[in-house]
Amino acid sequence: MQVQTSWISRWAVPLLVVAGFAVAWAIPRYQLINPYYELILMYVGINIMLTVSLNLVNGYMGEFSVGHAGFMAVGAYVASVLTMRVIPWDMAGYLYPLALIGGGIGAGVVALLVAIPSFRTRGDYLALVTLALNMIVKSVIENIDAVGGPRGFLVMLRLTNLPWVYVWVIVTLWVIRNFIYSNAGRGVLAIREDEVAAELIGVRTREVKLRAFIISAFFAGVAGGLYAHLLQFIHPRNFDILKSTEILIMVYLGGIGSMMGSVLGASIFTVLLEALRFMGVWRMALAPLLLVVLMILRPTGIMGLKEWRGLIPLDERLRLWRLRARKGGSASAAGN
Amino acid sequence: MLLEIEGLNLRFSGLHAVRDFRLHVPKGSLSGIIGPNGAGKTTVFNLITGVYKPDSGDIRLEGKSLVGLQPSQIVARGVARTFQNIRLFKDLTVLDNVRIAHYQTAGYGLWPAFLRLAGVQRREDAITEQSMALLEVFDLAHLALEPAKSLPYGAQRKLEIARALATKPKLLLLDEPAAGMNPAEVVQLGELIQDLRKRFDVTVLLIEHQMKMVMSICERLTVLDFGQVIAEGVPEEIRTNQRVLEAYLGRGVTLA
Repeated sequence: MQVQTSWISRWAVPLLVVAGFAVAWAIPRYQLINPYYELILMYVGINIMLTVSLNLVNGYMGEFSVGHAGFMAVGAYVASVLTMRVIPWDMAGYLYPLALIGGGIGAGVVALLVAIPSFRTRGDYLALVTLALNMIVKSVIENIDAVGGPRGFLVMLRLTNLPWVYVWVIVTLWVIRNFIYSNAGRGVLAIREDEVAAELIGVRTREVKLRAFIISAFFAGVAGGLYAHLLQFIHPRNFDILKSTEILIMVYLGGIGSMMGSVLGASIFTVLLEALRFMGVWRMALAPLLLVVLMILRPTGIMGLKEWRGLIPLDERLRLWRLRARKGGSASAAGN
Repeated sequence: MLLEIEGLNLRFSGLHAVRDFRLHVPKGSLSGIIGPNGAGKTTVFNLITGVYKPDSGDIRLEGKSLVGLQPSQIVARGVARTFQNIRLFKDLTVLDNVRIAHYQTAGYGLWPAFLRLAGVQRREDAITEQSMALLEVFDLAHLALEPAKSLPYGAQRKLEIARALATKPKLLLLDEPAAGMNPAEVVQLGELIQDLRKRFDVTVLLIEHQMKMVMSICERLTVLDFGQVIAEGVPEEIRTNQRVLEAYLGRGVTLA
Protein backbone atom coordinates (compact mmCIF):
# COMPACT_ATOMS: atom_id res chain seq x y z
CA MET A 1 0.00 0.00 0.00
CA GLN A 2 2.70 2.45 1.04
CA VAL A 3 4.96 1.46 -1.82
CA GLN A 4 2.17 1.92 -4.29
CA THR A 5 1.30 5.37 -2.97
CA SER A 6 4.86 6.58 -3.23
CA TRP A 7 5.27 5.07 -6.72
CA ILE A 8 2.28 7.03 -7.92
CA SER A 9 3.38 10.22 -6.21
CA ARG A 10 6.89 9.77 -7.62
CA TRP A 11 5.92 9.33 -11.25
CA ALA A 12 2.48 10.86 -11.72
CA VAL A 13 3.70 14.41 -12.32
CA PRO A 14 6.66 13.59 -14.64
CA LEU A 15 4.38 11.31 -16.66
CA LEU A 16 1.76 14.02 -16.90
CA VAL A 17 4.39 16.49 -18.11
CA VAL A 18 5.67 14.10 -20.79
CA ALA A 19 2.16 13.18 -21.92
CA GLY A 20 1.30 16.88 -22.09
CA PHE A 21 4.29 17.51 -24.31
CA ALA A 22 3.30 14.67 -26.62
CA VAL A 23 -0.14 16.22 -27.01
CA ALA A 24 1.30 19.72 -27.49
CA TRP A 25 3.61 18.35 -30.19
CA ALA A 26 0.96 16.25 -31.93
CA ILE A 27 -1.70 18.95 -32.16
CA PRO A 28 0.05 21.16 -34.76
CA ARG A 29 1.83 18.19 -36.37
CA TYR A 30 -1.37 16.30 -37.24
CA GLN A 31 -3.75 19.26 -37.06
CA LEU A 32 -5.78 17.57 -34.38
CA ILE A 33 -7.81 20.62 -33.49
CA ASN A 34 -9.13 23.74 -35.15
CA PRO A 35 -6.23 26.27 -35.47
CA TYR A 36 -8.38 28.83 -33.67
CA TYR A 37 -8.54 26.60 -30.59
CA GLU A 38 -4.83 25.98 -30.92
CA LEU A 39 -4.27 29.73 -30.85
CA ILE A 40 -6.37 30.04 -27.69
CA LEU A 41 -4.34 27.26 -26.09
CA MET A 42 -1.18 29.24 -26.81
CA TYR A 43 -2.70 32.36 -25.27
CA VAL A 44 -3.64 30.30 -22.23
CA GLY A 45 -0.02 29.16 -21.93
CA ILE A 46 1.39 32.67 -22.24
CA ASN A 47 -1.13 33.96 -19.72
CA ILE A 48 -0.22 31.17 -17.28
CA MET A 49 3.40 32.35 -17.44
CA LEU A 50 2.37 35.96 -16.81
CA THR A 51 0.02 35.01 -13.97
CA VAL A 52 2.37 32.65 -12.14
CA SER A 53 5.22 35.15 -12.37
CA LEU A 54 3.09 38.01 -11.04
CA ASN A 55 1.74 35.76 -8.30
CA LEU A 56 5.31 35.35 -7.04
CA VAL A 57 5.48 39.07 -6.20
CA ASN A 58 1.83 39.85 -5.41
CA GLY A 59 0.69 36.55 -3.92
CA TYR A 60 3.66 34.84 -2.34
CA MET A 61 5.55 37.98 -1.34
CA GLY A 62 2.51 40.14 -0.64
CA GLU A 63 3.74 43.20 -2.51
CA PHE A 64 1.50 44.96 -4.98
CA SER A 65 3.05 45.28 -8.42
CA VAL A 66 0.59 46.56 -11.02
CA GLY A 67 2.76 47.06 -14.11
CA HIS A 68 3.51 43.52 -15.20
CA ALA A 69 2.79 44.32 -18.86
CA GLY A 70 5.75 46.71 -18.76
CA PHE A 71 8.13 43.79 -18.28
CA MET A 72 6.24 41.82 -20.89
CA ALA A 73 6.77 44.71 -23.34
CA VAL A 74 10.51 44.84 -22.70
CA GLY A 75 10.75 41.09 -23.31
CA ALA A 76 8.61 41.27 -26.44
CA TYR A 77 10.65 44.06 -28.04
CA VAL A 78 14.08 42.74 -27.02
CA ALA A 79 13.30 39.23 -28.28
CA SER A 80 11.84 40.60 -31.52
CA VAL A 81 14.82 42.83 -32.20
CA LEU A 82 17.06 39.83 -31.59
CA THR A 83 15.27 37.57 -34.07
CA MET A 84 14.65 40.30 -36.67
CA ARG A 85 17.87 42.29 -36.54
CA VAL A 86 20.61 40.40 -34.71
CA ILE A 87 20.23 36.69 -35.38
CA PRO A 88 20.65 35.71 -39.06
CA TRP A 89 17.29 34.70 -40.56
CA ASP A 90 18.22 31.15 -41.36
CA MET A 91 19.36 30.63 -37.77
CA ALA A 92 16.39 32.30 -36.08
CA GLY A 93 14.44 29.04 -35.72
CA TYR A 94 17.26 27.36 -33.81
CA LEU A 95 18.30 30.34 -31.73
CA TYR A 96 14.74 31.32 -30.85
CA PRO A 97 15.05 30.12 -27.21
CA LEU A 98 18.11 32.33 -26.80
CA ALA A 99 16.19 35.31 -28.14
CA LEU A 100 13.43 34.63 -25.61
CA ILE A 101 15.96 34.34 -22.79
CA GLY A 102 17.45 37.61 -24.04
CA GLY A 103 14.01 39.19 -23.73
CA GLY A 104 13.67 37.78 -20.22
CA ILE A 105 17.06 39.15 -19.22
CA GLY A 106 16.11 42.56 -20.64
CA ALA A 107 12.99 42.56 -18.47
CA GLY A 108 15.05 41.39 -15.49
CA VAL A 109 17.48 44.29 -15.90
CA VAL A 110 14.59 46.77 -15.99
CA ALA A 111 13.19 45.12 -12.84
CA LEU A 112 16.54 45.59 -11.14
CA LEU A 113 16.59 49.28 -12.05
CA VAL A 114 13.09 49.73 -10.67
CA ALA A 115 13.53 47.58 -7.58
CA ILE A 116 16.57 49.28 -6.10
CA PRO A 117 14.96 52.69 -5.55
CA SER A 118 11.42 51.44 -4.92
CA PHE A 119 12.26 48.88 -2.24
CA ARG A 120 13.57 51.67 -0.07
CA THR A 121 9.97 52.70 0.19
CA ARG A 122 7.26 50.34 1.35
CA GLY A 123 3.86 48.93 0.54
CA ASP A 124 1.68 51.05 -1.70
CA TYR A 125 4.64 52.87 -3.18
CA LEU A 126 5.64 49.81 -5.17
CA ALA A 127 2.23 49.95 -6.85
CA LEU A 128 2.86 53.56 -7.87
CA VAL A 129 6.38 52.84 -9.05
CA THR A 130 5.34 49.85 -11.16
CA LEU A 131 2.38 51.78 -12.55
CA ALA A 132 4.77 54.51 -13.59
CA LEU A 133 7.16 51.94 -15.03
CA ASN A 134 4.42 50.50 -17.21
CA MET A 135 3.70 53.97 -18.62
CA ILE A 136 7.36 54.84 -19.03
CA VAL A 137 8.15 51.62 -20.90
CA LYS A 138 5.21 52.26 -23.22
CA SER A 139 6.19 55.83 -24.02
CA VAL A 140 9.87 54.97 -24.40
CA ILE A 141 8.96 52.35 -27.02
CA GLU A 142 6.65 54.84 -28.72
CA ASN A 143 9.64 57.12 -29.10
CA ILE A 144 12.13 54.61 -30.48
CA ASP A 145 11.80 54.87 -34.24
CA ALA A 146 14.02 51.85 -34.88
CA VAL A 147 11.26 49.55 -33.55
CA GLY A 148 8.47 51.42 -35.29
CA GLY A 149 7.57 53.78 -32.45
CA PRO A 150 3.81 54.27 -32.16
CA ARG A 151 3.25 52.54 -35.52
CA GLY A 152 4.19 49.14 -34.09
CA PHE A 153 6.81 46.60 -34.98
CA LEU A 154 6.37 43.88 -37.56
CA VAL A 155 7.78 40.55 -36.40
CA MET A 156 7.79 38.55 -39.59
CA LEU A 157 8.76 35.23 -38.09
CA ARG A 158 5.99 33.20 -36.49
CA LEU A 159 8.35 31.25 -34.27
CA THR A 160 5.91 30.58 -31.45
CA ASN A 161 4.10 27.26 -31.67
CA LEU A 162 2.27 25.07 -29.20
CA PRO A 163 5.24 22.84 -28.24
CA TRP A 164 7.40 25.89 -27.48
CA VAL A 165 4.68 27.50 -25.37
CA TYR A 166 4.20 24.23 -23.53
CA VAL A 167 7.91 23.87 -22.79
CA TRP A 168 8.13 27.42 -21.49
CA VAL A 169 5.06 27.01 -19.29
CA ILE A 170 6.64 23.91 -17.74
CA VAL A 171 10.00 25.67 -17.27
CA THR A 172 8.24 28.62 -15.62
CA LEU A 173 6.24 26.43 -13.26
CA TRP A 174 9.25 24.27 -12.46
CA VAL A 175 11.69 27.09 -11.72
CA ILE A 176 9.22 29.19 -9.73
CA ARG A 177 8.10 26.12 -7.81
CA ASN A 178 11.72 25.25 -6.96
CA PHE A 179 12.33 28.83 -5.91
CA ILE A 180 9.27 29.00 -3.66
CA TYR A 181 10.08 25.72 -1.93
CA SER A 182 13.70 26.70 -1.29
CA ASN A 183 15.36 28.69 1.44
CA ALA A 184 14.90 31.92 -0.52
CA GLY A 185 11.25 31.06 -1.14
CA ARG A 186 10.60 30.70 2.57
CA GLY A 187 12.11 34.18 2.86
CA VAL A 188 9.52 35.37 0.31
CA LEU A 189 6.68 33.96 2.42
CA ALA A 190 8.19 35.45 5.57
CA ILE A 191 8.17 38.89 3.94
CA ARG A 192 4.46 38.53 3.18
CA GLU A 193 3.72 37.48 6.74
CA ASP A 194 5.83 40.05 8.59
CA GLU A 195 8.68 41.84 6.90
CA VAL A 196 10.18 43.29 10.08
CA ALA A 197 10.18 39.95 11.88
CA ALA A 198 11.67 38.30 8.78
CA GLU A 199 14.63 40.68 8.76
CA LEU A 200 15.06 40.24 12.52
CA ILE A 201 15.37 36.48 12.31
CA GLY A 202 18.02 36.73 9.65
CA VAL A 203 16.21 36.89 6.30
CA ARG A 204 18.08 39.36 4.09
CA THR A 205 14.81 40.90 2.97
CA ARG A 206 16.17 43.27 0.34
CA GLU A 207 18.06 40.43 -1.32
CA VAL A 208 14.95 38.22 -1.29
CA LYS A 209 12.71 40.95 -2.71
CA LEU A 210 15.18 41.74 -5.45
CA ARG A 211 15.48 38.10 -6.46
CA ALA A 212 11.73 37.50 -6.49
CA PHE A 213 11.13 40.69 -8.45
CA ILE A 214 13.77 39.84 -11.07
CA ILE A 215 12.60 36.24 -11.48
CA SER A 216 9.05 37.49 -11.88
CA ALA A 217 10.10 40.02 -14.53
CA PHE A 218 12.26 37.47 -16.35
CA PHE A 219 9.34 35.13 -17.01
CA ALA A 220 7.07 38.03 -17.93
CA GLY A 221 9.74 39.00 -20.46
CA VAL A 222 9.91 35.49 -21.91
CA ALA A 223 6.11 35.44 -22.12
CA GLY A 224 6.29 38.77 -23.96
CA GLY A 225 8.74 37.28 -26.46
CA LEU A 226 6.45 34.32 -27.09
CA TYR A 227 3.50 36.70 -27.48
CA ALA A 228 5.37 38.84 -30.03
CA HIS A 229 6.32 35.85 -32.17
CA LEU A 230 2.75 34.63 -32.10
CA LEU A 231 1.02 37.93 -32.87
CA GLN A 232 3.73 38.87 -35.41
CA PHE A 233 2.87 42.51 -34.97
CA ILE A 234 3.49 44.23 -31.68
CA HIS A 235 2.38 47.64 -30.69
CA PRO A 236 3.07 49.68 -27.53
CA ARG A 237 -0.69 49.64 -26.87
CA ASN A 238 -0.57 45.84 -26.50
CA PHE A 239 1.29 46.41 -23.26
CA ASP A 240 -0.66 49.16 -21.54
CA ILE A 241 -2.23 49.30 -18.09
CA LEU A 242 -5.23 47.36 -19.37
CA LYS A 243 -3.02 44.37 -20.08
CA SER A 244 -1.47 44.66 -16.61
CA THR A 245 -4.96 44.77 -15.14
CA GLU A 246 -5.92 41.59 -16.97
CA ILE A 247 -2.93 39.81 -15.44
CA LEU A 248 -3.90 41.09 -12.00
CA ILE A 249 -7.44 39.79 -12.48
CA MET A 250 -6.10 36.36 -13.44
CA VAL A 251 -3.89 36.29 -10.31
CA TYR A 252 -6.69 37.19 -7.91
CA LEU A 253 -9.24 35.03 -9.72
CA GLY A 254 -7.04 31.95 -9.36
CA GLY A 255 -5.94 32.77 -5.85
CA ILE A 256 -2.85 34.33 -4.34
CA GLY A 257 0.05 32.19 -3.23
CA SER A 258 -0.93 29.20 -5.37
CA MET A 259 0.60 28.13 -8.67
CA MET A 260 -2.33 25.85 -9.40
CA GLY A 261 -4.55 28.85 -8.74
CA SER A 262 -2.66 30.85 -11.34
CA VAL A 263 -2.92 28.03 -13.88
CA LEU A 264 -6.69 27.86 -13.31
CA GLY A 265 -7.15 31.62 -13.15
CA ALA A 266 -5.29 32.19 -16.42
CA SER A 267 -7.06 29.31 -18.18
CA ILE A 268 -10.57 30.22 -17.09
CA PHE A 269 -10.17 33.93 -17.77
CA THR A 270 -8.60 33.47 -21.20
CA VAL A 271 -11.14 30.91 -22.37
CA LEU A 272 -14.05 32.87 -20.95
CA LEU A 273 -12.98 36.05 -22.69
CA GLU A 274 -12.82 34.18 -26.00
CA ALA A 275 -16.11 32.38 -25.44
CA LEU A 276 -17.84 35.69 -24.82
CA ARG A 277 -16.65 37.33 -28.00
CA PHE A 278 -20.27 37.50 -29.26
CA MET A 279 -20.95 40.06 -26.54
CA GLY A 280 -18.62 42.55 -28.20
CA VAL A 281 -17.46 45.36 -25.94
CA TRP A 282 -19.70 44.15 -23.13
CA ARG A 283 -17.41 41.23 -22.40
CA MET A 284 -14.89 43.74 -21.06
CA ALA A 285 -17.46 44.71 -18.45
CA LEU A 286 -17.86 41.07 -17.53
CA ALA A 287 -14.28 40.59 -16.36
CA PRO A 288 -14.46 43.14 -13.54
CA LEU A 289 -17.96 41.91 -12.68
CA LEU A 290 -16.61 38.38 -12.42
CA LEU A 291 -13.94 39.63 -10.08
CA VAL A 292 -16.46 41.44 -7.87
CA VAL A 293 -18.67 38.34 -7.63
CA LEU A 294 -15.64 36.21 -6.83
CA MET A 295 -14.40 38.58 -4.16
CA ILE A 296 -17.79 38.36 -2.47
CA LEU A 297 -18.22 34.60 -2.75
CA ARG A 298 -14.60 33.54 -2.39
CA PRO A 299 -12.33 36.42 -1.43
CA THR A 300 -9.14 34.37 -1.57
CA GLY A 301 -9.64 33.27 -5.17
CA ILE A 302 -10.31 29.80 -6.50
CA MET A 303 -7.38 28.14 -4.73
CA GLY A 304 -6.60 30.77 -2.10
CA LEU A 305 -3.18 29.93 -0.59
CA LYS A 306 -3.72 26.19 -1.17
CA GLU A 307 -1.53 24.25 -3.55
CA TRP A 308 -2.16 21.18 -5.63
CA ARG A 309 0.18 18.51 -4.28
CA GLY A 310 1.63 17.80 -7.71
CA LEU A 311 3.14 21.29 -7.73
CA ILE A 312 5.05 20.72 -4.50
CA PRO A 313 8.57 19.28 -5.06
CA LEU A 314 8.61 15.53 -4.48
CA ASP A 315 11.31 15.61 -1.81
CA GLU A 316 9.34 18.18 0.21
CA ARG A 317 6.13 16.21 -0.20
CA LEU A 318 7.86 13.06 1.08
CA ARG A 319 9.42 15.00 3.96
CA LEU A 320 6.05 16.30 5.16
CA TRP A 321 4.50 12.90 4.58
CA ARG A 322 7.12 11.29 6.82
CA LEU A 323 6.50 13.89 9.53
CA ARG A 324 2.80 13.18 9.38
CA ALA A 325 3.49 9.45 9.61
CA ARG A 326 5.83 10.01 12.56
CA LYS A 327 3.12 11.96 14.30
CA GLY A 328 0.98 8.87 13.75
CA GLY A 329 -2.59 8.37 12.73
CA SER A 330 -4.15 11.76 12.14
CA ALA A 331 -3.01 12.09 8.53
CA SER A 332 -5.24 14.88 7.40
CA ALA A 333 -3.95 15.46 3.89
CA ALA A 334 -4.03 19.24 3.99
CA GLY A 335 -1.41 19.86 1.36
CA ASN A 336 0.07 23.25 1.97
CA MET B 1 32.20 40.43 27.95
CA LEU B 2 29.83 39.24 25.27
CA LEU B 3 27.89 42.47 24.88
CA GLU B 4 29.15 45.93 25.76
CA ILE B 5 27.05 49.03 25.32
CA GLU B 6 28.57 52.42 26.01
CA GLY B 7 27.14 55.94 25.98
CA LEU B 8 24.13 55.02 23.88
CA ASN B 9 21.77 57.85 22.94
CA LEU B 10 18.64 57.97 20.84
CA ARG B 11 16.27 60.87 20.33
CA PHE B 12 12.87 60.77 18.67
CA SER B 13 12.55 64.45 17.78
CA GLY B 14 11.68 65.92 21.20
CA LEU B 15 11.90 62.74 23.24
CA HIS B 16 15.25 61.62 24.55
CA ALA B 17 14.28 57.93 24.50
CA VAL B 18 17.62 56.47 25.54
CA ARG B 19 20.13 58.56 27.46
CA ASP B 20 23.76 57.57 28.03
CA PHE B 21 22.76 53.94 28.30
CA ARG B 22 25.45 51.48 29.26
CA LEU B 23 25.28 47.74 29.76
CA HIS B 24 27.81 44.96 30.12
CA VAL B 25 26.59 41.42 29.64
CA PRO B 26 29.12 38.71 30.57
CA LYS B 27 29.24 35.59 28.45
CA GLY B 28 26.95 32.87 29.70
CA SER B 29 24.99 35.15 32.03
CA LEU B 30 21.27 35.63 32.45
CA SER B 31 20.51 39.32 32.91
CA GLY B 32 17.38 41.41 32.94
CA ILE B 33 16.33 44.93 32.10
CA ILE B 34 13.41 46.22 34.11
CA GLY B 35 11.69 49.56 34.44
CA PRO B 36 8.28 51.23 34.31
CA ASN B 37 6.26 51.32 31.09
CA GLY B 38 7.78 53.63 28.51
CA ALA B 39 11.18 53.61 30.15
CA GLY B 40 12.88 52.65 26.87
CA LYS B 41 13.52 48.95 27.41
CA THR B 42 12.24 47.73 24.06
CA THR B 43 13.97 50.69 22.42
CA VAL B 44 17.25 49.34 23.76
CA PHE B 45 16.47 45.96 22.15
CA ASN B 46 15.62 47.73 18.90
CA LEU B 47 18.97 49.52 19.05
CA ILE B 48 20.90 46.30 19.70
CA THR B 49 19.16 44.47 16.83
CA GLY B 50 19.57 47.32 14.35
CA VAL B 51 15.92 48.37 14.02
CA TYR B 52 16.99 51.85 15.17
CA LYS B 53 20.36 53.49 14.61
CA PRO B 54 21.72 55.24 17.71
CA ASP B 55 22.54 58.97 17.57
CA SER B 56 25.73 58.24 19.46
CA GLY B 57 27.40 55.49 21.42
CA ASP B 58 28.62 52.03 20.63
CA ILE B 59 27.24 48.50 20.83
CA ARG B 60 29.85 45.76 20.68
CA LEU B 61 29.37 42.02 20.47
CA GLU B 62 32.56 40.14 21.31
CA GLY B 63 34.43 43.39 20.82
CA LYS B 64 33.06 44.12 17.34
CA SER B 65 30.68 47.00 16.78
CA LEU B 66 27.15 46.28 15.62
CA VAL B 67 26.26 49.91 14.94
CA GLY B 68 25.24 50.56 11.33
CA LEU B 69 24.64 46.93 10.39
CA GLN B 70 21.37 45.69 8.90
CA PRO B 71 19.23 43.66 11.33
CA SER B 72 19.86 40.46 9.32
CA GLN B 73 23.62 41.05 9.54
CA ILE B 74 23.33 41.42 13.30
CA VAL B 75 21.49 38.08 13.38
CA ALA B 76 24.43 36.59 11.47
CA ARG B 77 26.78 37.94 14.15
CA GLY B 78 24.83 35.97 16.75
CA VAL B 79 22.01 38.07 18.20
CA ALA B 80 18.44 36.77 18.11
CA ARG B 81 15.30 38.12 19.69
CA THR B 82 11.63 37.64 20.41
CA PHE B 83 8.97 40.33 20.40
CA GLN B 84 6.82 41.91 23.07
CA ASN B 85 3.74 41.50 20.89
CA ILE B 86 4.16 38.09 19.26
CA ARG B 87 5.34 38.35 15.66
CA LEU B 88 5.12 34.85 14.29
CA PHE B 89 4.47 34.09 10.62
CA LYS B 90 0.86 33.33 11.47
CA ASP B 91 -0.37 31.62 8.32
CA LEU B 92 2.72 29.43 7.92
CA THR B 93 3.20 26.14 9.70
CA VAL B 94 5.01 25.87 13.01
CA LEU B 95 7.75 23.97 11.16
CA ASP B 96 8.17 26.67 8.51
CA ASN B 97 8.39 29.35 11.18
CA VAL B 98 11.49 27.59 12.47
CA ARG B 99 12.86 26.63 9.04
CA ILE B 100 12.76 30.26 7.89
CA ALA B 101 15.17 31.10 10.69
CA HIS B 102 17.79 28.92 8.93
CA TYR B 103 17.98 31.48 6.12
CA GLN B 104 21.60 32.42 6.75
CA THR B 105 22.82 28.90 7.40
CA ALA B 106 20.99 27.06 4.61
CA GLY B 107 24.25 26.66 2.71
CA TYR B 108 23.04 26.56 -0.88
CA GLY B 109 22.71 29.23 -3.51
CA LEU B 110 20.03 30.35 -5.89
CA TRP B 111 21.07 28.36 -8.96
CA PRO B 112 21.20 24.96 -7.27
CA ALA B 113 17.80 25.84 -5.77
CA PHE B 114 16.35 26.54 -9.26
CA LEU B 115 17.42 23.07 -10.36
CA ARG B 116 16.63 21.50 -6.98
CA LEU B 117 19.86 19.52 -7.08
CA ALA B 118 20.43 16.55 -4.75
CA GLY B 119 22.58 18.72 -2.48
CA VAL B 120 19.69 21.13 -1.98
CA GLN B 121 17.38 18.28 -1.06
CA ARG B 122 19.89 16.97 1.48
CA ARG B 123 20.27 20.40 3.05
CA GLU B 124 16.49 20.71 3.24
CA ASP B 125 16.40 17.33 5.00
CA ALA B 126 18.97 18.57 7.51
CA ILE B 127 17.16 21.89 8.08
CA THR B 128 13.89 20.06 8.67
CA GLU B 129 15.52 17.61 11.09
CA GLN B 130 17.19 20.40 13.06
CA SER B 131 13.94 22.32 13.20
CA MET B 132 12.05 19.27 14.44
CA ALA B 133 14.70 18.62 17.09
CA LEU B 134 14.30 22.19 18.29
CA LEU B 135 10.51 21.89 18.36
CA GLU B 136 10.96 18.71 20.38
CA VAL B 137 12.79 20.68 23.08
CA PHE B 138 9.84 23.06 23.33
CA ASP B 139 7.31 20.25 23.23
CA LEU B 140 5.87 21.60 19.98
CA ALA B 141 6.94 18.82 17.61
CA HIS B 142 3.47 17.25 17.47
CA LEU B 143 2.12 20.61 16.21
CA ALA B 144 4.78 21.01 13.50
CA LEU B 145 2.37 21.02 10.56
CA GLU B 146 -0.29 23.23 12.13
CA PRO B 147 -0.47 26.91 11.21
CA ALA B 148 1.25 29.01 13.85
CA LYS B 149 -1.89 31.05 14.49
CA SER B 150 -3.76 27.95 15.70
CA LEU B 151 -1.42 27.54 18.69
CA PRO B 152 -2.49 28.60 22.18
CA TYR B 153 -0.90 31.78 23.44
CA GLY B 154 1.73 30.19 25.64
CA ALA B 155 2.80 27.85 22.84
CA GLN B 156 3.15 30.82 20.47
CA ARG B 157 5.50 32.48 22.94
CA LYS B 158 7.56 29.30 23.08
CA LEU B 159 7.59 29.00 19.30
CA GLU B 160 9.02 32.50 19.08
CA ILE B 161 11.88 31.48 21.35
CA ALA B 162 12.44 28.31 19.29
CA ARG B 163 12.51 30.36 16.10
CA ALA B 164 15.07 32.74 17.60
CA LEU B 165 17.25 29.84 18.75
CA ALA B 166 17.19 28.34 15.24
CA THR B 167 19.47 31.17 14.12
CA LYS B 168 22.08 29.71 16.54
CA PRO B 169 22.58 32.90 18.54
CA LYS B 170 25.25 33.71 21.09
CA LEU B 171 22.97 36.30 22.66
CA LEU B 172 19.24 35.77 23.03
CA LEU B 173 17.07 38.80 23.71
CA LEU B 174 13.65 38.03 25.18
CA ASP B 175 11.17 40.90 25.20
CA GLU B 176 8.62 40.21 27.95
CA PRO B 177 8.51 36.45 27.44
CA ALA B 178 6.02 35.99 30.28
CA ALA B 179 3.55 38.64 29.15
CA GLY B 180 0.01 37.31 29.23
CA MET B 181 0.91 34.02 30.90
CA ASN B 182 -0.75 32.65 34.01
CA PRO B 183 1.33 32.13 37.19
CA ALA B 184 1.88 28.41 36.55
CA GLU B 185 3.08 29.10 33.01
CA VAL B 186 5.41 31.82 34.29
CA VAL B 187 7.08 29.38 36.65
CA GLN B 188 7.50 26.86 33.81
CA LEU B 189 8.91 29.54 31.55
CA GLY B 190 11.47 30.55 34.15
CA GLU B 191 12.67 26.95 34.34
CA LEU B 192 12.70 26.67 30.55
CA ILE B 193 14.84 29.79 30.15
CA GLN B 194 17.39 28.51 32.65
CA ASP B 195 17.43 25.15 30.91
CA LEU B 196 17.90 26.75 27.48
CA ARG B 197 20.87 28.71 28.66
CA LYS B 198 22.74 25.52 29.47
CA ARG B 199 21.44 23.41 26.63
CA PHE B 200 22.16 25.91 23.84
CA ASP B 201 25.10 27.61 25.53
CA VAL B 202 23.47 30.97 25.00
CA THR B 203 23.64 34.21 26.94
CA VAL B 204 20.21 35.58 27.81
CA LEU B 205 19.12 39.19 28.26
CA LEU B 206 15.46 39.70 29.01
CA ILE B 207 12.94 42.46 29.59
CA GLU B 208 10.21 41.54 32.01
CA HIS B 209 7.49 42.92 34.22
CA GLN B 210 6.92 39.70 36.15
CA MET B 211 9.06 40.73 39.12
CA LYS B 212 8.82 37.35 40.75
CA MET B 213 10.38 35.62 37.76
CA VAL B 214 12.99 38.31 37.17
CA MET B 215 14.09 38.26 40.78
CA SER B 216 14.32 34.48 40.86
CA ILE B 217 16.16 33.73 37.62
CA CYS B 218 18.23 36.80 36.68
CA GLU B 219 21.77 37.14 37.96
CA ARG B 220 22.04 40.84 37.23
CA LEU B 221 19.46 43.54 36.70
CA THR B 222 19.59 46.92 35.05
CA VAL B 223 16.80 49.35 35.86
CA LEU B 224 15.75 51.94 33.32
CA ASP B 225 13.61 55.01 33.85
CA PHE B 226 13.03 57.73 31.27
CA GLY B 227 15.71 56.22 29.07
CA GLN B 228 18.34 56.33 31.79
CA VAL B 229 19.96 53.66 33.91
CA ILE B 230 18.95 54.39 37.50
CA ALA B 231 20.35 51.29 39.11
CA GLU B 232 22.15 48.07 38.40
CA GLY B 233 23.23 45.11 40.43
CA VAL B 234 22.13 41.75 41.74
CA PRO B 235 18.38 41.31 42.38
CA GLU B 236 18.77 41.72 46.15
CA GLU B 237 20.29 45.18 45.77
CA ILE B 238 17.66 46.26 43.26
CA ARG B 239 14.83 45.15 45.49
CA THR B 240 15.83 47.61 48.20
CA ASN B 241 17.19 50.42 46.02
CA GLN B 242 15.50 53.71 46.89
CA ARG B 243 15.60 55.14 43.34
CA VAL B 244 13.99 52.02 41.92
CA LEU B 245 11.17 52.20 44.43
CA GLU B 246 10.66 55.85 43.55
CA ALA B 247 10.57 55.08 39.83
CA TYR B 248 7.92 52.43 40.30
CA LEU B 249 5.86 53.89 43.13
CA GLY B 250 6.63 57.61 43.03
CA ARG B 251 8.51 59.90 45.35
CA GLY B 252 7.27 60.49 48.85
CA VAL B 253 5.21 57.37 49.06
CA THR B 254 5.17 56.15 52.56
CA LEU B 255 3.91 52.73 53.19
CA ALA B 256 1.54 53.11 56.04
